[in-house]
Formats: sequence, C-alpha cells, structure tokens
Amino acid sequence: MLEIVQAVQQWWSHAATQPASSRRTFDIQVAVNALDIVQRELLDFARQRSAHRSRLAGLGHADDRSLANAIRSGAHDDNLEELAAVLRESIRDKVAVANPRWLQSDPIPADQSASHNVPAPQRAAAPHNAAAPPTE
Amino acid sequence: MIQHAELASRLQAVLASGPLTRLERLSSGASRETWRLECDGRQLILQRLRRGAVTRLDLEVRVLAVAAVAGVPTPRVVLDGSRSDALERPFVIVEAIAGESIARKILRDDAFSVARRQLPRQIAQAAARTHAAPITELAALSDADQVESLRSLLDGLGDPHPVFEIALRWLELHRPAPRPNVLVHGDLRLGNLLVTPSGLSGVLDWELSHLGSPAEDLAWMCVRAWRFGSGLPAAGLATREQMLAHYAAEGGAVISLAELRWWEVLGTLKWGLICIMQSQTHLRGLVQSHELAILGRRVCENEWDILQLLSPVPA
Repeated sequence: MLEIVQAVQQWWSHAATQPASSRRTFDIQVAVNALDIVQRELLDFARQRSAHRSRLAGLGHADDRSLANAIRSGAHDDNLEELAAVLRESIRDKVAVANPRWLQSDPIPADQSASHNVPAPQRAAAPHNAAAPPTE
Repeated sequence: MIQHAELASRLQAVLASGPLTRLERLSSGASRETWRLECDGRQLILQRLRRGAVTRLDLEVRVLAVAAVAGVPTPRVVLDGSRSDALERPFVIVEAIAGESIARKILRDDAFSVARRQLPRQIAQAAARTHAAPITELAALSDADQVESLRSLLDGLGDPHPVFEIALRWLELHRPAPRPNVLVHGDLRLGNLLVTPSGLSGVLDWELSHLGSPAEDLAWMCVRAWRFGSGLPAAGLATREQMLAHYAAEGGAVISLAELRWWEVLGTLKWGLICIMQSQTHLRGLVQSHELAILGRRVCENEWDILQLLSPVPA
C-alpha cells in the first residue's frame, strides 16, 4: 500500500509543475485508479489478512513462505487441487482489491469472428476447464 | 551518443542511399530501439540494440531468414548490421510492412471486420509454417526447459508465491508427452502481428524465439492478457478449439485441449513473473512510475487465472 501512495505522491509533485497534456490526463487517470486500489485495500485489509491466516493455518502453515516451501518440496502433491481451492478464496480477495472487474468473465464481442472457415471435425466446443488433465 | 542528424547521415552511408526523408523514433523496448525511416522512396525500419543488451541480433536475423523461407510473412532484411559498429551498436534494417499492430483496434474497429474472420486461420498458418521450418541452422537458439527456466526466474524474485509454486508443481507432475523441438516464435500474439483490413500482413518481434514445443506458441496467445478484453480465448479472435483445428488443417501437429491447457498454465505463470519483474523495476527506483507500481498489484490476476485453469470444475 505504502509503495503505491509514495509512487502517486512522487508523480503528483512532479506533475503539478507540468503543463496540461494528454499524457498528463492519462497519468491522472492511472493515479486515480491507484488510489482506488489503496482505498479498497484499506477498507478490507484486516479481514482479508485474518481470513488468509486462518486458511494457511487450516493447511498446517504459519505463513506463505512455509506453504511455498512445502509445495516446492512435493509435500502437497497429493492435495494440490484442495490447496488451489483454498487459496482461490485468498486470491479472490486480492483481485477484488486490485481489479474487481477481472473476476467477471470478459464480455464476448459482438463480432463473433472465426465462426466461419473452421474445419468441421474438431468444431465441438467442450468447456475448456472441463478438459481432462494431459497424459503424464 | 549519436545525435539524430548524425544517425541520419550514418544511415545514408550504410544504406548507400540518397538523403533520408524521414527518421522517427517509434518505441523503445527493453532491449532495443525502433526507428522508422524513409529514403529513396522506401519505407524502412531500423532496430538497434540498447547499450548493454545481450540479445543475439545475428541469430534473430538468421531466424527471420529461415521463417521467411518457410512462408511466414516476415519483414525482409535490407541490411544486417548485427556484427557492425557503423551505428555504434548492432542493428538490423528491414522493409516496413503496412499494417496495424494495436490489438484493441484490430479487435474492435469496423475497418478490421473482414480481417477478424481471416486472422484465426492466418495466425494458425503462420504458426504451423514457423514450426515446420528447418532448425539445423538454428542450433544456437536456446532449447532450455521452460519449467526449469520459470522456476529459476521465480527464485530470483524473492517473495514467496504459493499459487505460482502450485503451478510449477502441477506443471512438473502433468508434463505432456515430449515432442521433437521446433522453432518457437516465443511471443506470438496480437501486438506483435501486423494486420491490414484484409488480414495478416506480418509477424514481428522474433527476439524471444527459441526451440521447443509448438503448443507453446498456440497457448501463449490464449493467456488472458493477450485477449485484450475479448471473450474469445485464442488471441481474442477464436475459441481454443477453432485455433487448434485451423492449426492442424494448416499442417500443424494435432494438439489436444489438455496439452494446450498445460502450456496455458505455463504461459500465465510466465506473464505473472514478468509482471512482478516489471513492478520491481519501479520499486528499486529504476523507473519512477505509478503505472508500474500498480502493475505489481495485478500479479494476482495471473494467480486467479492459474487457479481457474487448474480448477477441476468448469468456472
């Protein structure tokens, strides 16, 4: 959080001396977005941190470092998917702070290109996430 | 350092041309600067390495030639300065190709509606031809294992990232059957393609080319960042199934969705690590930019995408 506030502050003290330009307008928008992030984080920081800690504790770890090391060592090979499901809640919190729109699926453009000229046999569209894992 | 006028006159000398009628700096990537120039009525592009850049430009010139022979639309090399000091640092001059490279325009502007229908097949064809190119002259390209490379990259970043560790471990445990090495473009996506209203006109930016699996190129264009807000996964233009079908129809290997998914997890991990590196450039004070500072906050988008890809249930 501090690094974002510092970056915005540094930029603003520089930009304040510059004439108006389209680049400056763009930078102002970026700065506003950055402060939005800080605001969302301040509002939810305590809850997110304690929720993440209890998830870690449930997995038998005191912090991210311990969990990361255990995954690297292969200690969680048997429950990687369970781990992924638990961490997903913590990551959902982080994305909700950084860029909430990312959690929604992207809009499909009106122009559904590429529906023509596709060789017929492989046209079936199973949901990608339902694909079987690759052969090992 | 060479000044603008000095660069213009040196260029005129190396090209043995008339005076330059245009010399304009276009952009500066991490390793090189790009200039547009015009002389004797010809539109040319100069790429010159930045000071201290370690890219093998000579190798890239060789890759361009090999890809061109294989039928990939690439810029024609006018002058190979990869071993020259005439412009102080290694350079290459190529013919400019007409076309748009800005992804959001290509995906949204009416002018490209015909192109959008052609592009999935044309991109698949460019990929298939790249992957069919003979690699005997390209043995100097890296053929490093991508999982190993990303693991060392992650280790160099310092902070623990459990989700990225899950991705690495998952990749290790689910490796697809190995394929013979092919020439991989390494950054095949909108932004590095030139597109005219009638379709693909050029494949650019070969500096990350290496030897590896053809599935890597097809999966990289599916990484969410390269969809530029489109709901269609493959380069923002097609479904994964459509892209794979076009690729096979154009002579490429038959690649399953499962193998593609493995490489998409790898690509998403790679992009996440690149985001961390770029934001650290800011934190170390190398570049003062709040834009870069908030890029670090967006690393979690890649973590989210990885967890979506690994989810056993359709999300």
